[in-house]
Amino acid sequence: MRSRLTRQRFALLFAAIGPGLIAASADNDAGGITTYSLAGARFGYGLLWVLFLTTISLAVTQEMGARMGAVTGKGFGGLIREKFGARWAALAILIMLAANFGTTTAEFAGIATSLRIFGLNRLITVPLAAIAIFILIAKFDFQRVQRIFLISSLVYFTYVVSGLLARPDWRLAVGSTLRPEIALTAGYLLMFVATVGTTITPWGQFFIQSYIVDKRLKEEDLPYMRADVYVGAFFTNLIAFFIIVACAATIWATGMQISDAAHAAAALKPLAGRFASALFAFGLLNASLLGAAILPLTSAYATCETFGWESGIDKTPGEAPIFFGLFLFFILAPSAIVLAIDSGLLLQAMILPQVLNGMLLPAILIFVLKIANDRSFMGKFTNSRAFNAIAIATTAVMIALTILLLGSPLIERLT
Amino acid sequence: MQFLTQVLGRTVFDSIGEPVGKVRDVIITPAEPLPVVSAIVIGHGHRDIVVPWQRVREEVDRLSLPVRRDRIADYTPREDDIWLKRSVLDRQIVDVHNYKVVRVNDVRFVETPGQVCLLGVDASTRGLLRGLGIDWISGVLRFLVGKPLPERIIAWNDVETLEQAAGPIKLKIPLEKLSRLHPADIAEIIEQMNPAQRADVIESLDVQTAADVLPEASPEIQAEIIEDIDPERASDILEEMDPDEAADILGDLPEERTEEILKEMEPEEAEDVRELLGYEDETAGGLMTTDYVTISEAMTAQGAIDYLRKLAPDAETIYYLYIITEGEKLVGVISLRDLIVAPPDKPVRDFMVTRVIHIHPEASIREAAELFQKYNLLALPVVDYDNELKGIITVDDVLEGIPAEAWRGRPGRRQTAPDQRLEHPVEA
Repeated sequence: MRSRLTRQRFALLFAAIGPGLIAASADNDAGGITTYSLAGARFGYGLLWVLFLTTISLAVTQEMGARMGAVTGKGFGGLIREKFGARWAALAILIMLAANFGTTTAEFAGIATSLRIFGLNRLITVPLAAIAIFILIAKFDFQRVQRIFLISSLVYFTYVVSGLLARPDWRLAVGSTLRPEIALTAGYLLMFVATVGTTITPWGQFFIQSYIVDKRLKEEDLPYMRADVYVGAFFTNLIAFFIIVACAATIWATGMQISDAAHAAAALKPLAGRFASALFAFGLLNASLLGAAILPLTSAYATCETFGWESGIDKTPGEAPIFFGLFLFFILAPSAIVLAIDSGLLLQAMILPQVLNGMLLPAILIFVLKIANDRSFMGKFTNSRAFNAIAIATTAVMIALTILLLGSPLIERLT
Repeated sequence: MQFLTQVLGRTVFDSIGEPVGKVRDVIITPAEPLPVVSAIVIGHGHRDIVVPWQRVREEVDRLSLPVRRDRIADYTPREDDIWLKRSVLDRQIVDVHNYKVVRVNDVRFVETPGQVCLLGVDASTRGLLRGLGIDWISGVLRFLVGKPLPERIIAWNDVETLEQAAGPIKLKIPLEKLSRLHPADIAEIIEQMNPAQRADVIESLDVQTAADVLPEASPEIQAEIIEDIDPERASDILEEMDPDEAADILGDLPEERTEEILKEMEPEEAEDVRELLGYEDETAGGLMTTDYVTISEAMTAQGAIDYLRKLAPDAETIYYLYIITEGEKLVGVISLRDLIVAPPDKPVRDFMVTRVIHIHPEASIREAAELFQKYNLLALPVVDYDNELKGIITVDDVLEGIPAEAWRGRPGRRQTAPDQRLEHPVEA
């Protein structure tokens, strides 16, 4: 056979790292790491049960997105347009763009924070990162870039080791995972919404579907796709679990306070000792770069696909003006914000967008539910009752929490 | 009515002013020269009522029916009716005139006496803004930028819909307009589609057209398509293609898949392709095809012409004929010109060129290209070290093999007119 075939075999090996795993691990971005760290640092093991249930929701929503992509062969935005029309599609896209804008800001804040640990000023690092990302995406094959980031994501296993070394109170940890206990304080609710929002993101819904569309799966492939998605969701949240546990055991247990994301590095001390900060910075930087590379691109693609504008990183700006405009905007504007705000607000800049993600999530999930249950699109592959139940429950809970959260200042004033 | 988005959602009233429901869809029936609007679909509670368009009265600000709500006669749907919102609006279609895949933002009608006809679809951004109800933005943009947003209607004759209905029920799409385009244009169009649409199109085209289109697409897309469609259809298409093109595509696929398809092919074809798969990519062997014409030296000129007439449809090139002996050994070559000029009874051995320009399978593409250039060839035979003829390389294949830059910067060569190339291939 031709020599090309050997090249093909290598490609197959890489392809074995399935879309589920890739999409899910991109969840551990700057916002993710920071949210989980804070969750553990401020509330100990109190949010583990949220993480546990969120993992189930994540597996379900990702599977629905992947199934929609596999069965219809179309992207999420395009499906919304075909089912609901241009107006609703515009709303969905605007919601996605708003959420993505916040998340991208969080990524650049992560870049600034991580490199500040090494003493580098954000006025240098952020613009450099923006330029680097632009060149990386424009000049290199995106799939390969992603896989490189993916492999360097293995560094998060340091949290697993560190978490084990920190000798957490396992009884308490496991108990908290399985026993829901909600504290009705604004702080806790905020963290709750942020934890869900950083795990199940609006962009993640668009992302997994468009990833699967390119894979062009057949009916026989669906079980493998499901397995891949579940494994992805499990592993990524396993990391999240250990981030929370490590922070709980090292920071919360000792009563330390966190005002800066860099303090979260203390969670890695059991493993890395005085290298904890550097290790943390590396992990955060890796996460932030991955996120900052994916988000502008996927925002531009989803928007252009839905409205029929030219898209493609291989086209010139003249050929695909809106695509490039969006892509550039999503790199420049968040960077500018990160440069403009007070450095003490960098932590908020990473957490608050996750809260926004959580608040906007119900809207996206409603679109997902309606399409995934539509026989004319999905044929015999509509949602099972169990999946519907889980997705509807997630939506309802998030709506309730959003109302509670927004209303909590009011309630506190009244009581 | 002018635009579909302006009529959808409007309330329809009956003869006594009671609202019947909102317009949910508009149905057109194909006709010459333009399709006509034949009915509208009104949402009425849980059911939809389909009313013939002739019974709808369009007034300044409202649509109404001349009868009472409970006495509306239903429309009888016809087989080739198209429901615009369900099948056309917001969906992707092929603009056959401009070779593009676009999304329908709106549908334009034209009013003629007694009827409303469908003029075409609007895939422009202007149409999108209008469909979203925010047309004022285009006014603002015009003010800011100076020139108005272009508005373009794609004539219905140039529209090829990609689906019969929304959903995974894959009916074979007629694709009449698409299939009449040049294969290179069809290839350009399918490159804009997503993998699912591509596979549908290739499955719906007839085998010969599909076989012409596939080589024109990029190698990644070729491999993707052949992997997606079922092996039997894939083998049918690959059989219609030239063996070297088929080998190119199969070489990019995983081994099991390649075997699967080769098993479905006719044994002779499969063998040809298998043989070609054995050669390295960037060599003469990798470029060559096994579809060429060979004759024996005893044949007369007339005999050769008759033979050629029988074979011509299958051969890659008939401009050169190769003379071989029993053991497939290459002993001579004649051009088509030689054949026509020679006396009909003359045996071929008397006027064939015996010192044939040739190349070995392991030679590089560059060496092949240089031979083509130097001797003004249209085709180059590939022989192994025993002088057995293995295949031929045609000039179009070698041109594809050389990147464009390599051709620039050559010292001014004398230009040869195309028919001069049909002279005897010059002796080595």
